[in-house]
Amino acid sequence: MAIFEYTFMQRAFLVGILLAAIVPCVGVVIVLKRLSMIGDALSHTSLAGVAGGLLLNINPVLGATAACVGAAFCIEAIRKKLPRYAEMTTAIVMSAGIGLAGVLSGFVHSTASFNSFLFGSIVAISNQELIWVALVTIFALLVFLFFYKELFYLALDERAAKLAGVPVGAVNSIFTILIAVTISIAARTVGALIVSSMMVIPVACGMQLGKSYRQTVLWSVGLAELFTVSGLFLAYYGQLKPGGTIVLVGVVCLLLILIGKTLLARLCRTRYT
Amino acid sequence: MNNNFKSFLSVIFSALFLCSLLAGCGKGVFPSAISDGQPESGSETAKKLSVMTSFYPMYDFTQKIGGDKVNVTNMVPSGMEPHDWEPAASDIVALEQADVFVYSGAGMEHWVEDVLNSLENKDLVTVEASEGITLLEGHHHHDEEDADEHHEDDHQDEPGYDPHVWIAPMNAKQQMENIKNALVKADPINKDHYESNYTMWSAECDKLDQEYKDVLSGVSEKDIVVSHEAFGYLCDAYGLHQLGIQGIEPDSEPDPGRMAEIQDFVTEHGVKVIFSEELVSPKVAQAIADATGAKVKVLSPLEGLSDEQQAAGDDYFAVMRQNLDALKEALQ
Amino acid sequence: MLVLETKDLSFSYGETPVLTNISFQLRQGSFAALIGPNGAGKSTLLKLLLGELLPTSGTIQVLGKDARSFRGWRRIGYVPQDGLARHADFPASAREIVQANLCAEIGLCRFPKQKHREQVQRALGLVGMEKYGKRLIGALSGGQRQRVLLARALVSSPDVMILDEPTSGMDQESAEDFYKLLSRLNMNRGLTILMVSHDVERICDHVSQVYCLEHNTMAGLTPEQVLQGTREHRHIPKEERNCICGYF
Repeated sequence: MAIFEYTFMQRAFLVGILLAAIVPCVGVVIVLKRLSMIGDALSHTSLAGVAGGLLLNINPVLGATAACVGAAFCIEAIRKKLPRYAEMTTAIVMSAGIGLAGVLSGFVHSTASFNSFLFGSIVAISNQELIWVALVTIFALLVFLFFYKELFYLALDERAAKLAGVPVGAVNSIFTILIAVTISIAARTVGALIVSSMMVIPVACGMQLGKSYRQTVLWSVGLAELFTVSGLFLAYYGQLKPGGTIVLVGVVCLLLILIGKTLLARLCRTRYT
Repeated sequence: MNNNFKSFLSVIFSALFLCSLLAGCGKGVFPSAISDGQPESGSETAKKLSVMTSFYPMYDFTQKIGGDKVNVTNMVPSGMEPHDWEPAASDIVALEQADVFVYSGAGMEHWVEDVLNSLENKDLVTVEASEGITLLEGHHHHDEEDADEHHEDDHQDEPGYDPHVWIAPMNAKQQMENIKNALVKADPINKDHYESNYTMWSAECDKLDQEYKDVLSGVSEKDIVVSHEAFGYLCDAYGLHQLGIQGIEPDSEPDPGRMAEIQDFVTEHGVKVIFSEELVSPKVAQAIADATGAKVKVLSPLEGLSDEQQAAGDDYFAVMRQNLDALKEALQ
Repeated sequence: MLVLETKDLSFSYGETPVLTNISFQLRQGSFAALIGPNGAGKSTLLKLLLGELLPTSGTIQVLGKDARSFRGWRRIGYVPQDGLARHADFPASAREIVQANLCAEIGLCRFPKQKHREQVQRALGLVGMEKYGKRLIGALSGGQRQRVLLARALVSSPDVMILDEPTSGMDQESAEDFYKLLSRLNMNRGLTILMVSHDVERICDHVSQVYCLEHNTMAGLTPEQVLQGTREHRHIPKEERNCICGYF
């Protein structure tokens, strides 16, 4: 097919598929821990890191990662102090991130490079970026697999996990870094505005379809891959922006699943009456 | 626990408050790098005309026409992309105190109308430098392969004009004339000074125009691939065709379909050079070049100067000649 | 053998005293209930017994060791109070929830083996849920869900089980079944159980010992004493009763 003859499309698919493997894994734990806003908060903070990086002449991706890690630890520290107000503290950190990003962007020379972090840069991925994404994704997947059961228990019931002997503090810290790194690397390619949707929508779909935690994770990853691949195809042939297309495919799918389930339930009900 | 939270909140709010103060100071804190560095010396500066120009080419033209009778300040800071730039409070204040305001117009400075409407300075002489120039239509997408029909626009989203008028030397000449007229209106005493400067520089424009004609009539290729469509008037004047990776404004990356189109074009037409600019990231241009074996070179749309150009003391004409060399090399 | 023991245990939240000089002993093999009005400090006492809080004064001995230096918390099984509501829509199967408690046993960065899966199945069997392993926890009834949480606490073969109001939100029949199940576990396997409950009259049929926590102090009573005390107090309106167990 013509679409695959272009190097940049091959790279786009490769990066998209890699990211669609790890982002929903992180997303499942985030959603179940009721931290869904954290994706938004961190992706906006990554913008501040990008702007800071551009101004200080360091690699903006490193700037984004550093800012994300810092913000993630802030959120985690506050969450421990105020477990019932996790959403509010996440919103506070997000506001700080947006504000900082807004102010710093005023000093950045070219908003085009800044914009590429907002909307993603999946059509101009260099070899170096590809390798970087591959390494980070593999590392993140390994971390997720090795701490699979601990992350599950922490999402389920942190107090019981602690009593059962799970090293809660350490695992939370590891997960925090995992979130930050995943978001900053994903924000670079699909855009900061899109990342948090990519974390939540496949998971929302997965939760509708999975009959266990493992199935939820597998469905989320599978669907994320589907959204990414079909989104890229649509963006190519429809001359659309890839990031938004991928998310919209996801939203449509979620709506279809919800409608489908409702209809199915109604059908079963009428059958028994 | 409560006390810790309160102190944390107060730290956060103080930080946010400080940030908003900083935002208010905005770009005014960092003065434009390009401005007349002459020290104020009492009566001499009192007689100088205070001119504000919107971005680099306007600054350069005004400086040339005005000579030492004007004090020119450029609004868009060095290194900043003018398409996205917005004036800060300090810029408005400067306009209130200026005598003349020079802007290019034709949609280049999208903030001009609002700012002019809100100014109270009744004595400000404003000049839209592109007045009198026949404007080309600007389009946001080339969706056809036909390279020759670049004037046809059946698929336009909005009726916009291509604002990059200054890139053609004969347009630059017209802009300088408009600026000269404005300076004369604001400062009739020094009319002869402005007129003689204009005569000198308009001759330079003619000379540059001839150089372009000579070189570009002899090249074999006529297609250039550029970062954004800033060279419409140049192409129109010298028989070239531009294919922009992005549209009239370099605000975001092209979608995958467009990337493929450009890559196909480059391969089919044997384009040897992909042109990038000083103020925009060359990432996409580099990606296309890597995939097709082309090279990346700089073609300046003269929207601003890079650090090297500033250090070398380049001006409009110097950069235009650099552009001509680059075009010659690419199109042979 | 004393499974849990406190001596003159006192705890205050800041200036407010919650527990004052509580001394009690939980013997191995007993099935005890902890009752008391809301806000009396039952949850606080549990947190102290589980090592989540440090006492202001006094000592706590868990399985013969001081709670401060005790490390074997996995030997204490715990069924939390809000389990029913919290786990209602969590996307996990019963099996996965039970297996979660084996995290420490399986080990960090390791994966569950066949023997762990068998452990999980056995635990589910103990609570009568062996056929429901693959079901989503949200697809189970309240009573079934609580059994799964019980199985989770049992899977690591604890020496003592602590349950915090396990039947709140359950209908009478399910609650009665649950107490019978606990009784069986206590008698057949010698599992020591301490259960916090508001269901005073019904649990007296099953437990062997009742601790009443009220007015910052604790009294140890037999179930018969408690039943008699509540019967005597029944005619007094709730607001005027000075305690719920008829002792204070």
